[in-house]
Amino acid sequence: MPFPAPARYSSHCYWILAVLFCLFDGELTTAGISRTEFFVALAAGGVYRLIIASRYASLTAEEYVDFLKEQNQSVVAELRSQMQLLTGWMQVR
Amino acid sequence: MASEATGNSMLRCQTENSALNVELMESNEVGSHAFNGPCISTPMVAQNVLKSDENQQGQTIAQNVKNYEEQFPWHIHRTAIRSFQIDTFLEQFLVHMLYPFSVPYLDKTYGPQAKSIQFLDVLFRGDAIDLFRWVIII
Repeated sequence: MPFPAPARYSSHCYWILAVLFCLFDGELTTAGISRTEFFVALAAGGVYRLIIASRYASLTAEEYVDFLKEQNQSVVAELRSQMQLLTGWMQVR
Repeated sequence: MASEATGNSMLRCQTENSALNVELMESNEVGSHAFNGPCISTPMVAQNVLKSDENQQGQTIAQNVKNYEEQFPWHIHRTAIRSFQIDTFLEQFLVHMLYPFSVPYLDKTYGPQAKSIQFLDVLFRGDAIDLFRWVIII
């Protein structure tokens, strides 16, 4: 089963939020969006990426490489479900 | 005299090894060899028994692992406390922070399918449900 093609555009870039805020700082402030709200959103994205990195870091080196080199999408989906926080660490499926 | 001496020696040898021979009789090849064949010194027999046990245990464990891997060829063995791989942690953190600019690195290091695998992480796919359940339980 082929993998879905990743998007060619960079709409999922983490730093686009910071770039947009810098570009439209004045307009956002006028609209009532404070810098605190901006930093909360940025921090939430950062924490999410920390959790993902921790999840991968709990794999052995062999499992990590096998996962990233796996060609079969269904196998990758099954591995991903086993790696998730709750299903992986607390043995809940 | 010579045959008598040999017989006594065999008898003594068998008596010394009687405890081991009982065990050896239960196993197949080593037991029959020690009982019917030429007299073997006790340490040598004991060593053979130990080697046999180690081999048997090793083969059993290897067979169990093989059976398990055949049944679950892609199963992640997350049943024990895992070590924390710092290099993997840093690599994944940077890959996700810099996505999609980290795609050339993924292509070069892990192959063309790796960017798709990582892209699903960026989209919160799977993790969103997982985190949601986690929050509900807490």
